[in-house]
This record gives sequence, C-alpha cells and structure tokens, in this order.
Amino acid sequence: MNDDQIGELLREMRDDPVPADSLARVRQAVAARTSGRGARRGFGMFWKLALPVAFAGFIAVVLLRPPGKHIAVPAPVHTVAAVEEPTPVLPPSSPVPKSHAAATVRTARHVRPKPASAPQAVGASLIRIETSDPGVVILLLADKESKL
Amino acid sequence: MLEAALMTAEVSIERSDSFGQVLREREAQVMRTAFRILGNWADAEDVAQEVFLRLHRYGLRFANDAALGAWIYRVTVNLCIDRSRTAKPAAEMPDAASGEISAEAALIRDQQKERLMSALASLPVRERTALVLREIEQLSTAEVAAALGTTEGTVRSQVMKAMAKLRRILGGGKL
Repeated sequence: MNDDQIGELLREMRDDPVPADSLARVRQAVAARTSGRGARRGFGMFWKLALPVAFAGFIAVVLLRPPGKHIAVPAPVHTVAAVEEPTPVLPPSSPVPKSHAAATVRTARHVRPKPASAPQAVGASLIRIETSDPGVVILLLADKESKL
Repeated sequence: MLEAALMTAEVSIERSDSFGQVLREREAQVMRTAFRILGNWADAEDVAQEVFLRLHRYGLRFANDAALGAWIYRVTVNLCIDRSRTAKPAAEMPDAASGEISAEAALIRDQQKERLMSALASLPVRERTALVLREIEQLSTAEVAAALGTTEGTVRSQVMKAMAKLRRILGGGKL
C-alpha cells in the first residue's frame, strides 16, 4: 500500500457516516445538561446579585441612620480631698522596705490633720512684754542660742 | 477595530439562540474527528458532549464560521489528547460505506479501513491527531497547527512521520 492509496483511504474516511444513535445520544445529553446548567446558572446569578445588593443595603443603613438620642451617663467623679497642710517630710532615716518599693499598687496615705495647738518651742524661751495699752502685748521668742 | 468589535457583537446576538443549530451542524464533524483519534464511538460521544457543553458555556462569540470551526477543532483535539493519555485507543470497525459499489468491493474497502484504523491507533497521539486533521478532515497545515497549538513545521513533520509509519505497518502485506 503506497502513500496515494493510504491518502485515498484517509480521505474516504471523511465521508464515513456517523452512527445515528451516537449523534442522538450526544444531542440528548447536551440538551439535558445545558437546560440544567441554565437553571443552575440562573440560581447562581441570583446569589451573585443578591449578596452585593444586601451588603450595599447594610452599608447604606449604617451610614444614613439618623443620629440617636444620647443618654448622658454621669461620669464617675473622682474627688480628691484637698490637703491644705503641707505634706510632712519623712525623716531621711526612715528606711523604705524593698517589698514596698516593688509594690505596684499603693494605697493613698491619708494624713490626719494634727489638732491645733500652741507652738511648742523646745528649748526656747518666751519673753512677754506688756505695754501701757492693755490690748498690745509683745511676745518675743528666742531659741537656745538666744537669737530672736 | 471598532467595526470588527461591532460585527462580532452582531454575530453573537444573531447566534444567541442558535446553539441547537450549531450543534446539529457540527456534531458529525466533532464525532468523526474524535472517533478517528480515539478509535471508538463511546469515547467519541463523551468528547462530543464535553465539546458542546463547553461551547454552550463559552457562548457563540465568534467573528465567523471559520473561527467557530477552529475553536471546535481545538477543544476537540485537546479533549481527545487528554482522554487518550488515560484510555488506550481501541479501533472499531467503521460503518459500511455507500451502496454504490459492489458488496465485495465494499467488504474489501471495509477491511482496508479496519487495518488503517488499527494502524492509526498504534501511532503516537499527536502524530495521529495531526494526520487525522490534515488528511481526513482536510484542514490546512496552518489550521492544524492552530488546533494543536504548535507550528506549521512541526505539523508537517508529524504528518510525514505518521505517513511513514502507516506505510511501514500497512505495506507489509497485500490488502
């Protein structure tokens, strides 16, 4: 069999009939699947459109919502008791325990005001000078070194 | 450019409802090509179904019939090559030819075709596909190259190799 004969056979094969039942099966299967696919595509298209629309609606509702009435909630007032008296300076010799220094939370130290009392001059001398005016009295306070 | 786009759109609109018509016009071409490459009608049916389902999904967006035909050939060939990797081709007896020739001559012709189909099935799939498209479907070398996604030189080489192998297989005995 030479090239011409092979070529002639091949060309002849082009006109060979295709089985009618095969064609019918293909047609039927394609029709069935394209109709089903069309329905599924419609369903898919619904969701493709519905989801963005729903999201856009949600955003619009959030952005265009009228401002609501705000209920004023009283903020907790932290009052700090004013200490009129100067904070007494701790003596330098007072040791600070390390455990206290490491503590993160410390309670406020409330200083009780001392009861008013007459100035006490330890080791000082008081000189009282009465004048002719009974309403005027001169008080002189001197320390140990007699300095006024 | 714009005119071409408009013409394409026009054709698409015209064909939007003619998928059934395209199916009827092209089904024999697809079935025949797939059968020659795969060697049996059952696989050819599966390939044809997939080709037309893809066409339905893709839509009839073709500038002309030649573009549509090229697309169909390309998809058919790709599906056949994919399928032939998993399934070994089994040559079936082709149907009887036209009744103009005598019964004896028809029988001899059928035997020759049967041997040719068996020889075709023994070729590598790309050579077989190139030969089927070039010699049976009578496509040009450029069209075969487009369908196979290769160059015209490669197609010519594949066809020559395929013909040489057929000659070697079929030339041994008298038909």
